[in-house]
Amino acid sequence: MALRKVLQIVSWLALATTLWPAFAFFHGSLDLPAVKRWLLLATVVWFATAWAGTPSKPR
Amino acid sequence: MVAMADEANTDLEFERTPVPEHAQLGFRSFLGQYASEHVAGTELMIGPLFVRTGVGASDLVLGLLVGNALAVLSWLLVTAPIATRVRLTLYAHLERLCGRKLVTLYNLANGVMFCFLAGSMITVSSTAAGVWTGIAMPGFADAWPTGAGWIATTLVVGALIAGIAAAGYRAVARFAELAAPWMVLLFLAFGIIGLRELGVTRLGDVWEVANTKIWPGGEPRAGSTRFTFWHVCFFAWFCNLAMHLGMADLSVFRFAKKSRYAIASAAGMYVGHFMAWLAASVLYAVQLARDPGHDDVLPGPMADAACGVAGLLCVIVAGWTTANPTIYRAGLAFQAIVPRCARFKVTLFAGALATVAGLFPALAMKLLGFVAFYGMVLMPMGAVIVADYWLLPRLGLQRWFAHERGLAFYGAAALTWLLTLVACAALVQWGGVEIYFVSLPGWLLAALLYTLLSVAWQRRARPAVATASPARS
Repeated sequence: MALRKVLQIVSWLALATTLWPAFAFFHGSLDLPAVKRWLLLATVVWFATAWAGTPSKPR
Repeated sequence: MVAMADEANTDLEFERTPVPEHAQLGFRSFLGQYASEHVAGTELMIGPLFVRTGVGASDLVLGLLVGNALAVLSWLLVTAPIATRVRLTLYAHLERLCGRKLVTLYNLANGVMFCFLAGSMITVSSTAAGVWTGIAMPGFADAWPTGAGWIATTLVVGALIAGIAAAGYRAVARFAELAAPWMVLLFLAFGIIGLRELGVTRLGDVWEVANTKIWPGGEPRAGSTRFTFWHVCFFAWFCNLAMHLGMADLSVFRFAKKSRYAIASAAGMYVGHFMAWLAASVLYAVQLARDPGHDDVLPGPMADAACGVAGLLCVIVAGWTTANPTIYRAGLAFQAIVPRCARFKVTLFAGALATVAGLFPALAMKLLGFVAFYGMVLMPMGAVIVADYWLLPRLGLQRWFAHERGLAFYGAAALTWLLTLVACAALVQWGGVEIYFVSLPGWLLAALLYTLLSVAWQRRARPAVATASPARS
């Protein structure tokens, strides 16, 4: 239960990181290659933690 | 509410019986579903195709705002009220209205259209896979497969999507739920990064750049039609025509506790058909700003330039997660025609058809016209359902005539479908009406034709109808 909570928090942080590099690039504080690296990292972390942290629903 | 007379209530998916109260869903279910389903791979084609039409920024933004509002109102005022009163799937409703044989014909048309739509999604995903494999990509004017590399890439992408749709639909459905918020944010990132690349450094510059660099207006590019406010408005309204005024989403809103939950469709329209289209347009404008001569619409390379590998994954996932249920639905439509055939096999067949369609880039490059055509083909049966439900009882006529009379083929509905399509085709071919607009008069004509033909049909059969027992209250 606690692990699931941690995974959910990490997944939400990863989701926020999907958008943050774009804003940083917009304000000129991050270059495009760095944006691409951050986006890939955020993507991997989001899918890994969201998949592991979400209970599968019976349909 | 409809009282279904003799049907055993053993149907757990409620495919043949009305959805009971305990299975009805709340507002949030529909909000999530519409927000995720309308961020698809095809949005990455539609945004750039708008730029190619030479539409101006004001016309585009206003057209999308109004057109999407009309789409939401169509779901809210036309689809959902019938869905929450009858609570049947589109197919079960149509079968009662026009008989099993005509529904089979409708399923065939629907299944083929779904396959073509999924084919364009496979094309979009292939442009992303092609960035890694380094194949020659199709140009905007290419109608046929552009080489062995394109064919091999598309066949592999299509086979994977079709195989998974046939074998593991539910796992992909779960994956699609997880991917939805990530995709929405990545589309937003496409737009923000693209705006910066076009020279926007503060929010106050956005409108000026939109008018001068993204949608400057003017002559359309070769092979595209000039779009005005009205084109954009009608396209936004009718790109899901089959779902709202065509009534396919009866199958969705039969689960809604209240018909007003259809307002949730606004989440799909203003996230997918507003933000995502605008963001995809921005990506294309960046490509044109870098190389004005390179005006091919290739979502993979555009997303790669803005967001790298994450962008490519977004294109593949957006195409895959939306092609998957589309192929699955096509399989269901085909299975209704050949019920003895296993769902696995018919879904594989639908996937194979979609993959073959995806080989031809013309389908994706002409997506604006295809989407309008798709809606036009299926729209008449939606008008028939509306007229049958609201108008016929007020004229003293029998609702669900085929069900009441045990008909397998109700001629009034079939003739309405045929005559409406002939009239629409004639208007487009000889009447100077563009395909984007023809479905509005077509829908009204279908409602009128069905009412008049029902008067004639039912008057002829009145003695038998008079003895039929009333089945609904």
